Amino acid sequence: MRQVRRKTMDTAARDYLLKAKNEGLQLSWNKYEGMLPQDGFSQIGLSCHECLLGPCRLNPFRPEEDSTVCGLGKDELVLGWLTRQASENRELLASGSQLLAELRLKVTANEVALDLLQSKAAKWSVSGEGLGDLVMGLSLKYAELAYPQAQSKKCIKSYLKSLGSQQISLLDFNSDLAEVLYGQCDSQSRLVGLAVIKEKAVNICLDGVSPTLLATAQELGAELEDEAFQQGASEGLNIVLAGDFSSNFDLNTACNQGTIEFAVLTGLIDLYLIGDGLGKARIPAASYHTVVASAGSSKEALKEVFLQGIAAYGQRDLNKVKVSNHVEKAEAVCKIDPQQIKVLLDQGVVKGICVIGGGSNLKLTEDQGTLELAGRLSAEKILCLTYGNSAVTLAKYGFLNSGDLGNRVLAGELDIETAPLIYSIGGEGDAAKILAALRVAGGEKAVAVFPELTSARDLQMALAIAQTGAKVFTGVQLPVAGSVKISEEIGKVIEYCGPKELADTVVKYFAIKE
Amino acid sequence: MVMENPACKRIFVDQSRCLGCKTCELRCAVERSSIGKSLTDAVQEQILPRPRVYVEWDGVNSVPIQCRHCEDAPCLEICSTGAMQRDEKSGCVFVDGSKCISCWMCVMVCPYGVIAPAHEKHSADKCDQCFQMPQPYCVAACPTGALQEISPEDYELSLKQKRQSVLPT
Repeated sequence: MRQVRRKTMDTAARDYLLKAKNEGLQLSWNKYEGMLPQDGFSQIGLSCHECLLGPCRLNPFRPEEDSTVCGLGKDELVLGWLTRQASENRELLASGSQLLAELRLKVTANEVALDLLQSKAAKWSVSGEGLGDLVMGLSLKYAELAYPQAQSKKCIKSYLKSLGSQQISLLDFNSDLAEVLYGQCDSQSRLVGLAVIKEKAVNICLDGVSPTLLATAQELGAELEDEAFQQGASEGLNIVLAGDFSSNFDLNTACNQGTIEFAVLTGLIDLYLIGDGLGKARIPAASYHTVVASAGSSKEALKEVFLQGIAAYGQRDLNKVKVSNHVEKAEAVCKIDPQQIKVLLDQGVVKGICVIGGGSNLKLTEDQGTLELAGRLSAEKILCLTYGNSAVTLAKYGFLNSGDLGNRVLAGELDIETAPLIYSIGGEGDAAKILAALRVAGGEKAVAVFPELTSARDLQMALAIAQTGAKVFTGVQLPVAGSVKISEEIGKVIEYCGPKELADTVVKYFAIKE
Repeated sequence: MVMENPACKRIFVDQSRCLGCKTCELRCAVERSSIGKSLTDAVQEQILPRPRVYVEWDGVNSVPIQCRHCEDAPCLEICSTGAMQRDEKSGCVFVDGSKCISCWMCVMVCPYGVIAPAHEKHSADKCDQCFQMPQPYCVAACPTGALQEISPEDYELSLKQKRQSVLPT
């Protein structure tokens, strides 16, 4: 546990680590440390369990073991893993289908803003005379985006970059549909921190849920508020997010993905609902009253789960409750103007753009890399753009509190007159907005840094950013070293840099560019 | 030689715990033969590092085999140049590469087949039980504890316990 405490710099988390220790709970850090060393063959991408002929592994130090039973060599095995990660879009497909079905229903009921629908359709090159045509056109566009386009694998870099970009396009498409269906909140001001979990409310924590599910959850929240009051929850029903922001719904965020277990450790989460997230908080939830559920597809199924969560409120163990007072305000920029950024770059007001993404990889330092980068680079007049989980991470430390001049963490480092150049553009679903900005402002003046590359989506975003011409760095070694050829190729797209040297490397990169 | 020093430890294998994961092989190759000393670097080296422990499989069970550091070691007997030596303190048999003439006699006489002809360095290659380190790397790496470094006396004790556990009550 001492090792775990060194792993996170989150001051709010330290109390909960101690609480977990006192309660004898094993958190994800402990689980990770407990299983070390990790499987070496997987670590270098030389294991495969795609079919039941295997599992296969290719021993890098035994030349006679150079092929899987189906004949894949080291290069194919590693490329296969990369391809699967770059094209992984299961939950995007599910979400897109739900959104299109919802769009059709709302169009039939005349509940959609026509102007917005037309402008979004035009963005995706869809035209039509009637609403029905637009819906059909968007459905066809969705089908086009959903399947990998045939492309030669001869140039591995281009192949992977285009696969990643395709998934981020699908993400963008879904985000546009969500905006048409649910609108965008007027205010993008949110609260972030464990204190958004209320002591006298039924707390429902949503982890990795789609916009459709968020909409249903919002509806149910309003419908079932009375049930919560009847259970004695004087503050009603409180829905919070974990590891993400929502541009469509005014929901606060309790924590980033790295500290999601601490939300449960407050003893106040009554329902933990997992969409496509990692669901890491399942580990401590098993020792609490918290109801853990996977997101259901229908409103009825979700209502059942919500009712279970409300009933769980009465089963809280008050001896295990530990309320947090940690909360920060976070602002997001809903619409970034790429032209304005280009002007700032041309005038030299900002030296470059740095996209900060990913986060919460427990092999690394947890938060520290992201914070150090944002602090160092904004002080060097490099515009930092962030989104999703990395935005939550920065917000947790007050980095996105634009109302507080210079914000508290950076105040010591920056000139008092200098406003920090760190902006969040919203949640994971809004990531594509950054790509649009880079295309206009010039990818060659940008870098993207993923200090803690964690998920397939992070990798896709990294590849899509590389497609714009930007340099991409990560502090996590991809499991590709088993193939010299592939690791060299992917290294030209996503460059590995030791976590401690990341900030220096990026600063030097901009200095060289000048 | 070994028996003169009861503190001498040897690597014992609990075969029931061996999953055949070959983590010991990887770690041994990386730590003892590679230049980069990390797995990701080692697999990309021009001359591939060589493990000195071999995980073998008989169709049902797997077992890691490395030099047993025999008391009457045939390799030690047959070496004509004195390249094959025994460390007095630990009792471990090791190769002094500078004296090895690559005649491979040791390779031929080893009853376990755990001495490899390393053509790339013109010397025989074998496990020396990492006798200059606090613990053999393979033992440290084994995720299930199938490999253990204990003294023969302690192993004898564990055998006694095993015998007692099967006595009728």
